[in-house]
Amino acid sequence: MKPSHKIKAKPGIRALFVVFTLMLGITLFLVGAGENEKQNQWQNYQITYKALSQSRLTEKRHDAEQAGNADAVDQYTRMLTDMSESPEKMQVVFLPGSQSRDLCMTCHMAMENPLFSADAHPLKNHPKEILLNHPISNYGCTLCHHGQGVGLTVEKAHGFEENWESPRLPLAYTQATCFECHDNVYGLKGAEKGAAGKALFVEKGCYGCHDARVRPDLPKFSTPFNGIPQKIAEKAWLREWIIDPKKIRPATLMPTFRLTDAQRIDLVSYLFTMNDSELKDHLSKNTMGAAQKGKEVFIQKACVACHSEKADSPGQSRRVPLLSDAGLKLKDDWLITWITDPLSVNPDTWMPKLDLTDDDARNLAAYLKTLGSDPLKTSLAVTVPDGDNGAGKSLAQSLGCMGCHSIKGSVEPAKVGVSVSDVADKRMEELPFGESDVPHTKWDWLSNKITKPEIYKTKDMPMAMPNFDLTTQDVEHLTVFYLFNRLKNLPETYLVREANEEAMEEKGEWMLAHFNCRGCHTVVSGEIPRIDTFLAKKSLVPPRIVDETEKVQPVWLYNYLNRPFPMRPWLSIRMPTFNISYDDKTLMIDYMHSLMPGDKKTKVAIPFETALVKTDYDKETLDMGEYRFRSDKCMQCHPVSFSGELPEGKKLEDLSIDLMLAKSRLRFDWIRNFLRNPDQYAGAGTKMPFVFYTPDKAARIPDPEDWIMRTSLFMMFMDKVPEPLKAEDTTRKVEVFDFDSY
Amino acid sequence: MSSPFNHSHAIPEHSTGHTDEGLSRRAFLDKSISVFGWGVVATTLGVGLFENLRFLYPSVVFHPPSKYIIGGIHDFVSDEKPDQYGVISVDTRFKKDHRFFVVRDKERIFALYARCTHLGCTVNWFEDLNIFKCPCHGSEFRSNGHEFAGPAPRPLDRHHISMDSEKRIIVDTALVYSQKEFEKQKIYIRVA
Amino acid sequence: MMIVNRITQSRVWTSIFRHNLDDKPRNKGLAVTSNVFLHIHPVTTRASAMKVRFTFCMGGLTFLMFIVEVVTGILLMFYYRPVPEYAYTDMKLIEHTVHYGMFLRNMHRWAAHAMVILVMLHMLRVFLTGSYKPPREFNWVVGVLLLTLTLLLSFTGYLLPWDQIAFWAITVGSKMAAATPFLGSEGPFHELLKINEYNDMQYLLLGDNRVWGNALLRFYVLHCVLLPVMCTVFIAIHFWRIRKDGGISRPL
Repeated sequence: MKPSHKIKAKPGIRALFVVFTLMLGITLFLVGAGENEKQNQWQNYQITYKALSQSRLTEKRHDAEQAGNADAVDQYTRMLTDMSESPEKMQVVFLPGSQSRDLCMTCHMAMENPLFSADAHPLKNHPKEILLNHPISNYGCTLCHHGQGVGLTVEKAHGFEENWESPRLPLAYTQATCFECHDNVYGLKGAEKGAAGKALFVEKGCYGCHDARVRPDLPKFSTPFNGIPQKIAEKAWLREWIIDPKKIRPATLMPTFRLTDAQRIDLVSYLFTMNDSELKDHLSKNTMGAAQKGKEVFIQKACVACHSEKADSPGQSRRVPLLSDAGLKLKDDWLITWITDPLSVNPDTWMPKLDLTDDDARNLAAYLKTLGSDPLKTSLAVTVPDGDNGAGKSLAQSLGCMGCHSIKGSVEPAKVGVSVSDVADKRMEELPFGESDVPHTKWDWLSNKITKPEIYKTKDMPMAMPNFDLTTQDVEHLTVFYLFNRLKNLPETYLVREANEEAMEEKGEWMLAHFNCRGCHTVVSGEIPRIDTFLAKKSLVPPRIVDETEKVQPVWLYNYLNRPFPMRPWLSIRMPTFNISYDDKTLMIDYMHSLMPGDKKTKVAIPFETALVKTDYDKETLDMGEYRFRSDKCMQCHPVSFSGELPEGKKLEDLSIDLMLAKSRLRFDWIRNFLRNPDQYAGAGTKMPFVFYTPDKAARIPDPEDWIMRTSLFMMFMDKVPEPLKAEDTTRKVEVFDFDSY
Repeated sequence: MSSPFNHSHAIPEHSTGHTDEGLSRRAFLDKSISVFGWGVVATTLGVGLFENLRFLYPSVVFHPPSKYIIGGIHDFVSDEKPDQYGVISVDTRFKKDHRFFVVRDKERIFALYARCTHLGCTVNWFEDLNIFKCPCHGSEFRSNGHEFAGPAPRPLDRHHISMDSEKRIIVDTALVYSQKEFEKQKIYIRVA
Repeated sequence: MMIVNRITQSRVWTSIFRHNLDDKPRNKGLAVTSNVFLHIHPVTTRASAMKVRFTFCMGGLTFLMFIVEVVTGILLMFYYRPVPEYAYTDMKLIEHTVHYGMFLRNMHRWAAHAMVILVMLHMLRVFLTGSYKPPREFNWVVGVLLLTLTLLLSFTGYLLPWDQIAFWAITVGSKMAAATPFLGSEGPFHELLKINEYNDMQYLLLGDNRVWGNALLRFYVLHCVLLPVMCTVFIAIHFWRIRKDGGISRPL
């Protein structure tokens, strides 16, 4: 071997060397290219953003130069310099408290830039209103929108990758995340869909089967099962009802259960064993009255304010039964007893006790018995065979009938449905899609579950949930309500606990709907009560109760709600007695107070009104008040008592409320305001004349304020209504002050 | 034939593979393979080293939020006369939560870090005396932040202040500047 | 040329490159003996032992994988914190925001898989060629220890991404420790030693009776410090025994 040769590897090894180095080079290149592409995606967005905002800023600066606004030019120049100096780099919001690291603004750079309102994502700005309370620097992005904050490509960042459990929410469902921090979304600005979903959840009675963050004290949604044999005339009606409730009453809230005919017969058979022994003894044997008179009573006594007797026109609310099939459904004795005193039949009912005579009740029952369509009548003309009661009972339990219907004396059964907060915590793999072709997202799963639950049914997995009648919008709202309905495990600073006022307002609004106050009263100005359309004269409509707590003393209102009494002699409709608990009555008063505009609310005290003391005022003031009262003849329209004779030349409907009520009923401030401007405080069209001022606020008499004060004070201390002023009283005896004897 | 006991430090006699016509084809091939191969190896190592260095420079760092929106210029307008240091008003709203004062003087708005430059106590603003006073060791500062009594060694520090595209004023409490830096870098908002 | 000569004859150069590459037997020897990496081999090796098909270089490749693991592992440690609040996010951040992070993480992961597979194949080869027979029986035992260490490294590393798979795998894995006879709270005869869930093997392993912060930290320390150091020591013994027991596998 020549010494001049260097040590060399064998040719085979050299070939291997070449192959390996080539492979190394290629790997290096590919890895590098991959990394580079990943970088390019967001860098390109940043480059575009920079170029766009530079050109827009330059334009703005140009405009400012034209306008000669030196300050603005200066500012835009500075912004341009800042912009040209800023390097392309990842943007991050890091929140130690919620452990979020959101790189979203690396691509979505224009979030807070007003110059980018018309662009497409990712270079579009964020709606401004919501950012005022949730600045990006303190809340980041993924707390509300979900997605993968640390991702940097479109798919990764939006969380559209396998095993990432919280992909970015579609904008239609973004409000769902409000529930993760806000304990109660009632009245929350920007969370309207969620609040609507919550209201729907209560309104449709979903709470019968599903636990959720709604008020814990919601009543049973529907009627009890006890007494069905005493109440329902035909087994066939019940069967028809279960087959398709909407066929009988289009607007009913009863959902349609998917059952076989045999199952229905079992169920009907079981329900007809539910005798109510107490009720049996209680039902009075009564004869029916005259249907024609009953029809008048139906309107005169304001049944129509809540119920409708026509199948195609809905009642005030869907929870109020439609009476179009009452004649075919109900038994006579039950009907009369119910009309006379609903609480004696079902102590939990929200139907109030009406102020009816026995004749009225019998006539009304006779009228209701005439209701019912012919097709339904023919379909009822079959006998339903006896089924298996035991099977019916277990069916009723497994279907969750007891979620809405109660059985007297039985233990409250567990809710058959999944709790709403459970759905929030479920991972995708835990949602049963069955054999459906629903896209694999949580929101698609939910909205389809709500619309057509049967599509998820498989051989191993029954699906008991019935079909509800919901609009597309309802479904969207309910989905928003359902998606993430539980407080997230976040530091307390992020969470907004329910305020007492919020809870009160929510419940108050629910109670107004529950007891159908709006059927008769105008609660908020601009509303028209349902009864209004059925009554010929506007003066026959029950009083409007807009800002009622400004007018009446809360303690009086409490007592009135507890036991109403007739105040307005010209009305045929009487305030019925509602079954409201102590807490609920006070809450209702609080809610009526909170409905007032903010400036009024602060002026009016709740729940107590400071009482006036007679000795604080000199006798002369009160005497002058009495004089005014008598000379203006207040007592002519405000009668001495309701039962008394009509004053001469007056019709019943010209009269108004007994003024002896004023001192216990009305607020002193309100009386004075009312005397100043009756139209404003009693609604336009009041019969009260303008006495002290003209409608244009010009004085009609000298010193109107003093006279208003005296008259009102007199009314607050009035022991009995005085006689009108006679001619001889008008000659004033002037007492000359004796300076000498002083 | 050279001895196997030759000293290994010996200089190579002359390079190999040269013929009279220059490089032979085989030698050229050998050479180019080794140049290419070692080239790739060297590149890999070089790139690897470089990328490793870049790996050690984080692309993004995580700091807790330190920027606070304190309002617009209109929130710091006052009809008072400037005092002898040119200061019109001192806003103490942000002291409790964020530990800075917003000072408005004749032509600018800036954020004073309320930390005494002596031993770090939070200074208080006394409107009547027109001074900042430290509760710990009695250092006193004029309304423009300059120390004039007590042990404080230098004027109060400043936070970064800027205005965003919606003309909201933003204070970044993570950035602190000495009075000199503040003047040099113009860390304030100029108002007309 | 002058400059090259000056450099190659300088003290620094000659202290690093101790010999030239002239094709002389001595240089051939020196090329091996003066190179730390090649020095793993004995000065003289039988030509037959150099055949690839003889061992398929399974042991060597396993060692290569070990080196890859150490290098990539150390780099990953720069961006990873073994705390429940951070671990998963840090793993995600390494993938998305760290320069070549995804590449490094995948390299670490695939090299780990490869190492387990290769170490098994290595063992199979040793078994088939009968290389566990005396005088190599001690090295076989060392090898078995290294296999265990490899598997433990793989097991402890599995928890560190702190995702669902990791969590449940370690939950199941550590339940096995609870089922140890005598020493596991759910194992047979544990009553004899008064073993309950607060003093059994699982509690020792996890530092807790469920997989949470202590377990993560414990597994991290095992994965990054204790097991690699042990591995290194046993690898050294393994290589040393190869030379002492007659070199790379061949009939003696």
